Amino acid sequence: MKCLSRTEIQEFIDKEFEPSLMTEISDHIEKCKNCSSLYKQANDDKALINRLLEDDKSVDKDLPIPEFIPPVLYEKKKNIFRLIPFVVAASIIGFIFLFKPARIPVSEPIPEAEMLMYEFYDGQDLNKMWHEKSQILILQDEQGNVIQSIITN
Amino acid sequence: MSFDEVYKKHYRELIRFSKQLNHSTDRSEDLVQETFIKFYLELGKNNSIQNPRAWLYKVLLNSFKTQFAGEKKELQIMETLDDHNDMPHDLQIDFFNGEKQAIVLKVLDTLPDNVREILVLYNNGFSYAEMAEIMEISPSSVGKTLVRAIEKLKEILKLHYHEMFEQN
Repeated sequence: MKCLSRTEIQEFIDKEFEPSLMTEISDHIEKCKNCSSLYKQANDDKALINRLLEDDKSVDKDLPIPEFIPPVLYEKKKNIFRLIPFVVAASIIGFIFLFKPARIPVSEPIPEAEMLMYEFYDGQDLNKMWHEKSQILILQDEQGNVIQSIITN
Repeated sequence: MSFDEVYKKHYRELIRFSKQLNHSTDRSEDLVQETFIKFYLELGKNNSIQNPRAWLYKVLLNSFKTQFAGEKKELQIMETLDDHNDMPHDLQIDFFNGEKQAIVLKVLDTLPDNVREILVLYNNGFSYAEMAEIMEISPSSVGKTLVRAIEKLKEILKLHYHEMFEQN
């Protein structure tokens, strides 16, 4: 019998061969150093996987098994859960609209000096007032050229 | 075996299998519930299921693939095992904190999907024929895929979990 590949060794460990072939392979492994080494390695690998995942198995020993929910009830339950986000969103929007505080226009009180100014100017022609109060000062040189003009009010 | 017997016998292991695939308790419960509903309906059609356990695993795995195929995992999948930078940094910290359960899930997460699936199924005691049926691959390729998966797992453990590996 020729030497086995790593895959064949794995299949041997997992008892995937016919019983007669299993015996033949077993005899070969006993005699062959290479295959014996591969066999030991493959066994170690299997133990490693078991060790790695075994703890994971032990975790769910106490997991309670819920009652099976028949298809019709399960669909109903799922549909109810699907509606929950919509109901919550609608409730929040409704709450905001129902309890939204009425907006009261906020106005700053007008200072007294400003009030007096408005009273003073009330009903008057502001343009005319400006012209009446303004004084125009024109500075000229000896030849009569305007050097500067100043408007005061 | 009646539906109730199958349900009670395999509920817990299916929850664990589902958690190993998607990490979420809520999603696992939904996946398992939906799997059993399919099983219930299948029995209702008077279709005989020769191997209920393998059937349930197959249906659950397919449902998982259909529902969560587009979702990104929380942890990045390691593209190349040679690159240390691809390994989530906190894995090593977790090891030293002794959170083995978390490590197992994270180690599984770093493996490509088919590698993770075959290792979990193998550890759950399925035969090569059953694994081929569940994963929908050729029975003759199970041995090779399994050995490749073991090598990949060992590579990760050698790189990042020397302590765990050396216990072997």
